[in-house]
Amino acid sequence: MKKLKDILFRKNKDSETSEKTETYRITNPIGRVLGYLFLLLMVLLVLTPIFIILNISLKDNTEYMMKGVYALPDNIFNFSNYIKAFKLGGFGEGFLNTFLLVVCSVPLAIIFGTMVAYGIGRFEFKLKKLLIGAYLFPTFIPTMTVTIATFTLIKSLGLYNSFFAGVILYIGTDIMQIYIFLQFINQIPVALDESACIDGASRLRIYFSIILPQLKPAIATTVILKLLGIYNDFFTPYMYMPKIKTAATSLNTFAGDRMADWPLMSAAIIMIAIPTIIIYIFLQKYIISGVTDGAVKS
Amino acid sequence: MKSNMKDKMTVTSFLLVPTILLILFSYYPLYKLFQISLSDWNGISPEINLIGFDNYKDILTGKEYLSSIWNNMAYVITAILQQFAGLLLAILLDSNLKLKKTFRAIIFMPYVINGVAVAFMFNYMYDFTNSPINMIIRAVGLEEHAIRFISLGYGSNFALSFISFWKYVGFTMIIFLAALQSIPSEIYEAARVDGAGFLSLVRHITFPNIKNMFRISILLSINGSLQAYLEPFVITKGGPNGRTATVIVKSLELAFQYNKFGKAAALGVVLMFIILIIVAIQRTLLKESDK
Repeated sequence: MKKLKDILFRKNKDSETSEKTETYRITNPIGRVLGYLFLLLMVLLVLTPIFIILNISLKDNTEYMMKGVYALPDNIFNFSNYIKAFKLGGFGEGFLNTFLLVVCSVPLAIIFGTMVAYGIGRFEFKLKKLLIGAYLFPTFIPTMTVTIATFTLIKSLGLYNSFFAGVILYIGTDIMQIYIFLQFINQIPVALDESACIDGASRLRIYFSIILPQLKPAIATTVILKLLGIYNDFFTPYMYMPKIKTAATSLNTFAGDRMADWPLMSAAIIMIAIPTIIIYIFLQKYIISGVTDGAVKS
Repeated sequence: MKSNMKDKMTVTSFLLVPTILLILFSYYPLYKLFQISLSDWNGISPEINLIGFDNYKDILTGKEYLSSIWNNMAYVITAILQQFAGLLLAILLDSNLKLKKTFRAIIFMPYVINGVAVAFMFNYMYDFTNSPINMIIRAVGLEEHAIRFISLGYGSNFALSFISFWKYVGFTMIIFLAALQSIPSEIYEAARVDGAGFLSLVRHITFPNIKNMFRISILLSINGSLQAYLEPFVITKGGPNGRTATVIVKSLELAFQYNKFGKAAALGVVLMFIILIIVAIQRTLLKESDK
């Protein structure tokens, strides 16, 4: 944990300095006012729906009926809707399954991603170009269009409605991850490998004791982004393992017959939305730089 | 470095499992998709009976399929507007305005929020009787102007695509911001010495320098908007009368409600080709303007 903090802290400092860049100088007072107005408008646009739902979630049903949407709740610590929704919606099970999916798939995804990057970054072999191409090409295939075939495949592998359907679909590595790992591997001096080799270390040993430790910052980013991706994914569990409820799919099921009970529904919405918001508050810079790296590389 | 037999074993074993997974889950489904698209398979029967290009003929002549592609256009238009909003935000956040960090943090936040939660949030905003927007419209006495967001006809597609604008405009902003910050500051300084103001800096330096990022960003957004699924699925199920059914919603409905896997797969292939053609056009344009 301390090490993760070190990494994060170092990253923070870096982006802190880039934060100070002021490429554009808006000096015209009207321009400044318009600029602030637009930013403020966007902030209101983002926050209003969230606050409205949060506001409703803290009211009981009669209070909602009597006072409507905008009045503040009588008691802002009225969490009864949350407790009720949590029990009725089986969200405990949903959160647990999502947690298990993360715990099972993220480490495997990291191991596979780093191993491929190590293989490509440190070895010369005949079909290397072809292999890189093979990992690159799928980024051009729009995943949603292939659903019908993936569904058929999952079924014929006997993975339909199995927890492992999710795991196997989440551990697949992609070119973006490989690129990010490769960047770090290329910075590690080859001499380090060589001297370890002379000392009699095997390649496996080099991978574990030289390569992996150097990849820590990239691994940390990937872990966080994968975690967010799995937590927020609705489609994979809904499509390939509907019997196994995750956080996202249990919200969808919960909504099925309680759409009219808005205070209860709002509590469920906030409950599902809040975990990633909390992660974001603490790891914001980290998430932003990870997302930017990914997009820039594509 | 020299590689010996043992190294070869190591590298092979490192690459083997990930590559098998890649072939199995990225390449095999492609083949399977084409095969199913040429059949009348119902998703259950053990053998797949090929019928040629009938599914494609049905799709390219069937009104309901073409209208689902048309529905996606609302998402595409929204995605294009999102680029301009994102770019403007990025420029403002790279300027001498105050509180930039706070603005950036808040505007990017929706990107990390669970999509199902967001969709239900907007389901409330768009609910005819409960909508907070309609509450205000009614409160100021314009009762008859209350909006039926999800039964507006084609307009409902814009209401739904606005949800992804809300969720992703911060993402667009962030990647433009990265592009802006990668432009060497000397260029700006030089222009400023020559007396260039804010607007001419944007026009003559920013635009030419972020062209590439603009293309990448617009490609990502159009790609996403052609595959839009979650918002209509959660909020309208494609209704009323297929008015908000996007291509993916339509394709999944064909497969899982009507057991027409063949036609559903063909619709997927058609969409894939549309997207690949757009990618190809973009790439050639990119190469041409680089000359």
